[in-house]
Amino acid sequence: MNILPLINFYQKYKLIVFPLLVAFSSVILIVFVIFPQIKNYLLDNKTILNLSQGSYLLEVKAQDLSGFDQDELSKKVSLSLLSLPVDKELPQIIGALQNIVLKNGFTLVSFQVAILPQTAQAVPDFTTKLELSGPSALMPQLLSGIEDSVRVMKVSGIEITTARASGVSQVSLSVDIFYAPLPSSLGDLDAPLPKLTEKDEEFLTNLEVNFPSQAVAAQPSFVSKGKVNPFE
Amino acid sequence: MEKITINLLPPEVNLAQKQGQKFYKIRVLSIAVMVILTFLSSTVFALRILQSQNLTLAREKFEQAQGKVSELKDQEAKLQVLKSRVTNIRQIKSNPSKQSQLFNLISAIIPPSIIVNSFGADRAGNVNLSAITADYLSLDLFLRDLVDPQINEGKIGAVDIENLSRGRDGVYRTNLKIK
Repeated sequence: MNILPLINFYQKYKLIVFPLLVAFSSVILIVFVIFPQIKNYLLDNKTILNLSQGSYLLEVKAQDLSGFDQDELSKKVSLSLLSLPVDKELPQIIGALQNIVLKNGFTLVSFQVAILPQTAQAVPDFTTKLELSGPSALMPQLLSGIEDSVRVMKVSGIEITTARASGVSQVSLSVDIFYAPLPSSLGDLDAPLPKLTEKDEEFLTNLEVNFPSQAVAAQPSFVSKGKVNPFE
Repeated sequence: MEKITINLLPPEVNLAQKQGQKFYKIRVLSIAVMVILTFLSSTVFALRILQSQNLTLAREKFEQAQGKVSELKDQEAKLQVLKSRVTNIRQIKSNPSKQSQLFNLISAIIPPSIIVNSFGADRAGNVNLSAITADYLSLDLFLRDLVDPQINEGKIGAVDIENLSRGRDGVYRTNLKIK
């Protein structure tokens, strides 16, 4: 291959060719080496920063979590689930309401559950209708017994008719019973740790104080199961 | 005395000399640029090597922390359940039953001489009250108390007397609608 013309060309135009070659090499170096490396350096720096922050938050989270008394936490969770279960828990409700009614001097005549289609609300509920009879003087205690029950419920309708001669009232109560499904995501690593505020703690303590007397009664009574002849 | 300089070189030699000087400058500048760029590339490479070590360390530390939290996942789930329950329960308890409140309020302000035959509070919190009394003044006082904002604590907006009659026996019968 004859390179003489090439050398001649270079000699003639070296003032232009040489800077052009250097500029081209520089551009190649910048575009394909320096720029991508600096870009990756900045990106990785950001990643390191994120990882460090994430590690710190996870360390703090782990430290906070290990600070909880496991038994105490389990006890509180059980208590809160008894108060606001994940499902309707009808047997528990029948037991709890029957107990409240009897405790306040009323007689439970009938009990009806109406499960209506749910509207968009934060905590779902269903309505029970109670037909009772008893002295009207004890109504305030009955109402506060329902409102203060360990299982979360609220009176949503009252009908009272009093027979003057006997002084006995026929009461029809609509009671909304609340329940709430479990949160959709539990124990996500990235999720921040929920904090129990002072008010939450105070509320749990109150719940715990009311717990023993009511919760035992709220549990369905266990009777022997099965029957020799179911048609008898 | 000023010096007189005379360039006796031929013009093409002069031109070649000037071009040579210019090329020398360009060469020096180009070499300087190349050196700077090479130094920059090497520095960036060195930084990347150091950074990759830091990145590995940061990843290891993050994985360790993740492992620690994963071990306590049950605790975290329990805490989340507890928090959501407590929030929901407190939210419900913060809005007490209007029906119970109205029943307690009316029970507290109703004079003893008025006998309530029936009391009904619907889901919207509207109350229908049917009562009898032989004492008109008590009924009047009761009605005044019902609409007095200081006594009804703002729980009653309006009281409609749907029916008020006095029988031959001298007993007043009334049906009230309380909103």
